[in-house]
Amino acid sequence: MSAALDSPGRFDAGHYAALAGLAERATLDFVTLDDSFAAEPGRPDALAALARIAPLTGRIGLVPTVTTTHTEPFHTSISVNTLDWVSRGRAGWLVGVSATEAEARACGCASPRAASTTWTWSAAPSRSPC
Amino acid sequence: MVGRPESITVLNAPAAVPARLGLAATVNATFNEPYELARRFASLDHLSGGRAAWNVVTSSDAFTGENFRRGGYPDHADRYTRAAEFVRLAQEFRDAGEDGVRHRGPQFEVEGRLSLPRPPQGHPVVIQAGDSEEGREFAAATADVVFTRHSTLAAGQAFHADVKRRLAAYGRGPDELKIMPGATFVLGDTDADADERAAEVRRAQVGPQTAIAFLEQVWGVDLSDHDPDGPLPDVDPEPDSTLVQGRVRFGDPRAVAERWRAVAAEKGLTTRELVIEVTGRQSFVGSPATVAAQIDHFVQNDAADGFILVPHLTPGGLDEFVDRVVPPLQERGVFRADYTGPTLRDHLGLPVPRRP
Repeated sequence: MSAALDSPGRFDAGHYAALAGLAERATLDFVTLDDSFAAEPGRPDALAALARIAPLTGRIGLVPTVTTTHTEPFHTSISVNTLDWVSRGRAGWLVGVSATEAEARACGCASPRAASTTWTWSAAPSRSPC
Repeated sequence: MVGRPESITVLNAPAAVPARLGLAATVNATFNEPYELARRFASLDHLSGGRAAWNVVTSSDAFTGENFRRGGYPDHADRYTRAAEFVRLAQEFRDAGEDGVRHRGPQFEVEGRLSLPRPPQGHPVVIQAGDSEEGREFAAATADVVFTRHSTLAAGQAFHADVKRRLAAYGRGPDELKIMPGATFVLGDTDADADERAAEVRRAQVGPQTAIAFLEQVWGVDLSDHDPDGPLPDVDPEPDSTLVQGRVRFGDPRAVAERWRAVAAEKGLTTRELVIEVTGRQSFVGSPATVAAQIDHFVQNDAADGFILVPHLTPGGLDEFVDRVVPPLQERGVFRADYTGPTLRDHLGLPVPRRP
């Protein structure tokens, strides 16, 4: 059993800590926090927020959405690994993709990546984040 | 890099525990994107209640580049051009209102809006370390804090004067950039005790193998058979050596060797003792009262605005400083007895940047 902590417009750590504490008292398996590079809804970086509350919780799994389209695999990898370290083995990763033009442009790409290639393993190695 | 956590993520975690300490993440501006980083630092600043700092570094080696899809690496001057536009663009993202940012520059062409409001500090404190001409100019234009290696009084004063002088060209006052040299320290009950301990620390830091490795960087040849407790090698350094490629060399190796031989002969030093003699020594050595007085002297005489303490032992090396040097600094009235505000900018006496 898991619970989503998504709370549009909340940027304070106390709020997320309180929700995760509640979920932990109910012995849930994990909590999730959604994320994307879109401007709406208002929210903090999900991995950052769950790293922030990791020391305030003891057992519950922490599963942020981390996108894979306009991010570097190296950064994503060490960031999720670091969440696992600071939570002593409670990290998960909800793999997300960026499909919109707005997200592409925020990262300096002229257009979104074709839907058919955001999820799949391509034979041709990708040389740029676009 | 192996065996190192991702710095922003790892600093979000202790943000939960000490309630006032600033949290400075070292993050590369060469292989990141401004939007993503602006967002992650805004998140750290919100979640910590205004305690985020960004130590901006750049990469100039293919080894780091191999970890990223673009690969390669830019040359030295380009790294700073990109970093300057990067930091400015990240600030634009945090300053932007509902309309978001449209940016067309030489390095970046992006548009977007963050999913967070402007964070408590406006922008995280920007820290930079770099001694080159480009690095100093970047600091004067962009940074709130500069880390430096100039740890003697005279070198500190020269660096301090040079960097502060550059601020006016960017419409900034001398108090808007804080200069913080790295500082090591060795304490003792008396100054004589401290001197003795400092010598022990140096011997422990420069073991036989370290001394030989250091020597090889100058000589450029395999010296693994050389006796560290004997005199310097008879052979001359190999100036075009490939043995030490990618490692820092010390000027003209033959001139360095000649200078070292002169020092060793004059003082009767073995190889290891010579390396101890010519490599960095502790910045502050003495009784707690002496060290507090030295630190104060540096600040009163414009060699530093603050320090980055580098204990010779980790963890545990900071304990002594906290217990024995902070109280006399407080008694002198030159270090706070308590925090005066919640944010890192409050601690450093830096104003929240106005939204342009």
